[in-house]
Amino acid sequence: MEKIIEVKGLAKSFKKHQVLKGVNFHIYKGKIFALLGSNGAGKTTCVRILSTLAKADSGSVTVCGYDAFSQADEVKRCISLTGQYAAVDEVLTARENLHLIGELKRLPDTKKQADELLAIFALEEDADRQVATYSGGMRRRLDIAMSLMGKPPIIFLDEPTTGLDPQNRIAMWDLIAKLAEDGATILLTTQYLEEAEYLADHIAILHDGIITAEGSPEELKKILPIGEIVLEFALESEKKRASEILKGHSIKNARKSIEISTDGTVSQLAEILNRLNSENVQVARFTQNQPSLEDAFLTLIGERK
Amino acid sequence: MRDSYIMFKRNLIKTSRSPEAVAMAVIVPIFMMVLFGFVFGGIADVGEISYINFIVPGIIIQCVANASSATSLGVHSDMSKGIIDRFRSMAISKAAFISGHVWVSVIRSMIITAITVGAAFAIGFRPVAGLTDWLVIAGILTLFIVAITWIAVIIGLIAKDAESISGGNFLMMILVFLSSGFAPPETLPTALRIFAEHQPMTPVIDVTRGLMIGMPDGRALITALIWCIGIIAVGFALAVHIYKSKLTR
Ligand SMILES: Nc1ncnc2c1ncn2[C@@H]1O[C@H](COP(=O)(O)OP(=O)(O)OP(=O)(O)O)[C@@H](O)[C@H]1O
Ligand SMILES: [Mg+2]
Repeated sequence: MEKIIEVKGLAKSFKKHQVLKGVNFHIYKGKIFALLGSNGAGKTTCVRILSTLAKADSGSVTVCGYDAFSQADEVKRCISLTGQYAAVDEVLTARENLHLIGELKRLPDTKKQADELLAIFALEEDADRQVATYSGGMRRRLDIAMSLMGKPPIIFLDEPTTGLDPQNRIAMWDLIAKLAEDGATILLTTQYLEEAEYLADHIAILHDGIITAEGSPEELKKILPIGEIVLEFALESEKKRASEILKGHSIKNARKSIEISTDGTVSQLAEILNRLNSENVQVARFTQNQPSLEDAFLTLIGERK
Repeated sequence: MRDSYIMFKRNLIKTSRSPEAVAMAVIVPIFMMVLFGFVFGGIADVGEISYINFIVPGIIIQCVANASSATSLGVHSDMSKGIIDRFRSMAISKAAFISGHVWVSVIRSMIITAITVGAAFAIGFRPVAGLTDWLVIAGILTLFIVAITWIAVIIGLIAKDAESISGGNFLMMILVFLSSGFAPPETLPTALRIFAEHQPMTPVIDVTRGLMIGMPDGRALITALIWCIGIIAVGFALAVHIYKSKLTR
């Protein structure tokens, strides 16, 4: 398979704050690659360097065979960037925004492509209204539509679903999957493990300036604790007892409850519940959570130590 | 070039979407012209010409200075929003973004100037300038408009927020009043007089007024040309420099 993006030893500091400390990864043509990281991890910084908007301090970035630092214009011609914050012109209408991009890219069929994208993104009815009157979700859709003008082979999406409601988020997922099916290579960033897991062929976790873990969702599942259960107790004494019984598991104490990370398998869940049940511990409430990425990190880093 | 034209078209559409901004830029100075002309016309003594004939050049300069803040705002709002990143991630000429703003700004200011002159006629402005005089006036005012546009672009690039832009505009207005626009500098206190005689707006106003009332002022023309061309050259270089350094963070 052809590596269409290759990042080696990427480092970047803002004043004394070292954000990227040697990031390495590569993306194969036609795949969806998810860069996963919490707030401030450096995802946006990474994407900005890859799309030639920011300069790295050291390291190398190759996109489409071109060097992102010395051949910026060639790189720009084969990518499109949808930044974290909507890059739409509020005063113009959706159609004018799309036409603007089409003209700047010298597309021969700007009007046709604009009409198609308006239809795909369900913006036809509002196409001739000023964007200033749009909702956040509509702006985001237009933003991505603008990036797709000219059918770029490489698409960077910085947190494409942040700010979308669940329904639109699913629609966006479908669309991203569709783009990859049609042959585009996609680099997306996200804070949601769930999103990366659902969409990506390959996930890289950016933490502390480096890629701390990477692999296919299946590979990552094996190293990341993906389930978390919360047990609430009416009585403090019962909570203490449960903590005693479950010693050996990774347990976090909250005020009236304890949180236990699991590997998400049924057998482990059954084992925990069985033990509590056989000791007759009174559990007031039982819930199962998707762990936040932060929790996953903490456990991951904790386990490694 | 083509990129600049596309950007120009974009800014033109944007300007046409807020006609009230252009209207305000015209109405305020016209209001001032009427106010000054009628209220101070009787008491102001500016030699043998009527006060309304005296203040028209100053009012024009004021209009242009006032209108330039729209350019600062436009540049600032583009720079502070995601849209600039989109332009930058596309293979388009770096200069296109700025020149798109400059062209629209120049054309807008020219239209505003024309409207102001028209309004002046309506309230009693009676120049004696011939066709060549008017052409020279148009030329010098165009140069001045371009010069002030570059300053406006720089203000837009460095401004932290919209407030600092209105601050910049306020300073510009003070500059208009501390010129030969509304009163002969000789009537000002010494320190202000020296300032008024040596700032760029004064020669531009003097040239324009001289030609309008049939008393051309050759020295002012040269000073005005030097000022305008100097500001354009320095302003252009500085704006491009700031723009580039802002982008390569
Ligand atoms: N221009 C800048 N100047 C100074 N510091 C910056 C700049 N850009 C980013 N940073 C810092 O770099 C770090 C990483 O920022 P970045 O925006 O890349 O994170 P992120 O992973 O995209 O976070 P988020 O999920 O919040 O978008 C942050 O600590 C941020 O404060
Ligand atoms: Mg970010």
